[in-house]
Formats: sequence, C-alpha cells, structure tokens
Amino acid sequence: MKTSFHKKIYPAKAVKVAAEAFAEVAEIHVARDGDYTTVSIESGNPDEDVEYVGEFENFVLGETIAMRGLK
Amino acid sequence: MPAKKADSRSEFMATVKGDAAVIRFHKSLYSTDALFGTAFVFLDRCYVHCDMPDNDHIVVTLVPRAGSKWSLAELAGEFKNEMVSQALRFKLAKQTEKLRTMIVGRAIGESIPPDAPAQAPSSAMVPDLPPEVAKLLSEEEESLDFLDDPFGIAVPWEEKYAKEEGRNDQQK
Repeated sequence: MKTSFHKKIYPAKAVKVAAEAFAEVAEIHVARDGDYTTVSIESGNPDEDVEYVGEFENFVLGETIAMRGLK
Repeated sequence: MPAKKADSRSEFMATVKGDAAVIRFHKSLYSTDALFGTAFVFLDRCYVHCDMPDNDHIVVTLVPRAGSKWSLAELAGEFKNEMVSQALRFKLAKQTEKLRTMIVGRAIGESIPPDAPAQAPSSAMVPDLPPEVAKLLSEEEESLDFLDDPFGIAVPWEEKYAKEEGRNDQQK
C-alpha cells in the first residue's frame, strides 16, 4: 500500500526517520517522485496495511512538528 | 445584480469522501503553524494526512481510527474549529511576544538583590544560593576543622565496641 508526502509540507528527513522506525514491523520502500516522497508499506497482512499506513502518516506528521519546534 | 463570484482565497471546505473527511482551504487563510498545531491535536483521534495539490491550497484528509466514536462530519467540524482556535492562539502569541519577554526579563531582574556584589562570586561561595545563605555557609566552613568529630562518627568500629565490651566486662 502506498502513501505520499509533499516535500513542502513534510521534510524528507521526517519520512526517513519514520521509515527507520517502521522497518522493524513492515517492509518499507521510499522513493522520490517529483514534489512527493512516496512510501510503500507492506506489513504482510493486507487487512492491516490501512492501519500501518495511517500510523506511518501520523508518525511522519509528529516528526515534522517536532523538527519544526512548535511554539 | 449579478452574484458575486466566490473568491478562492475564502475557500474553506469540508467534505466526506468514502471513509475519510477531506478539508480543503486556501493556504493564505491559515499559517502552517496553525495547520500543524491542529493536526497534532487530532493525532490520537484519527490518521491525518496533509497534501498540497496545487501551490495555493492545502488538503487535509482525516481517517478515523478503528473503533473511533467520532463521525466524519464531527471530525471535520472539530478540525475546522480547532484551526480557528490555533490561528487565534498564534496571533495572540505573536502580538504579546514582546510583552511576555519584557515581563520575564523584569521578573529575573527584580529577583537579583540590589546589594548583591557585582563581581563574580568567590570560589568559597555557592553561586546558586542566595547571598545570605552562601555567607552563612562560608562562615561555617571557616569554623569547621576536618579533625573535629563532635558526634564521634570517625571512631573506628573496633575501638568503639571494644570500649563498650570493656565496660560490660567491668559491670559483670
């Protein structure tokens, strides 16, 4: 299952950190596609992939906020 | 009178698409800080994904977590309200930034006693303590001798108990 992150919203480093964190529980493949960083997530159980992708998106968002240093 | 054409800058739409709530707004309406502040509040309720389909608009997709008690319409409405709240929060924070800095600066300045020595404290004084306490401590340190043992804690175990046993033997 794929998801993509716009580089103007999500820094590539946040995606990289999330990919490293999720590498233990799922197969992660990261690629650049124009303005987007595309991530493919395969957990082994297709029924759970939606949840994995959602959690991954939240993780990237959390990392992005942490990197920005929300006031 | 012809109907006024809606300005795309005033766009702030929330729609339900399948199992997700989609919020679309012009990026000039809300700052990125307000967007991230709002998204952070929703991380525990749903999966949040932000996108920029063109240079002017932001699209936020909210997918509720499994077993969520929130309906999509509720999530979208709450998200819109939180955006307003966060935008106001950042506006007020920006407006009062100088005042807050001044208040904290004055509080720190007033906490320093007026008769405090301007030069750096001597090595005997503890810099984190108030000067009165540091003075007392330094006076006490001067009067103390490391050979003094008023409580008898430096007496070796053998000596201390040998004396007690000797006394016990004498009593018997």
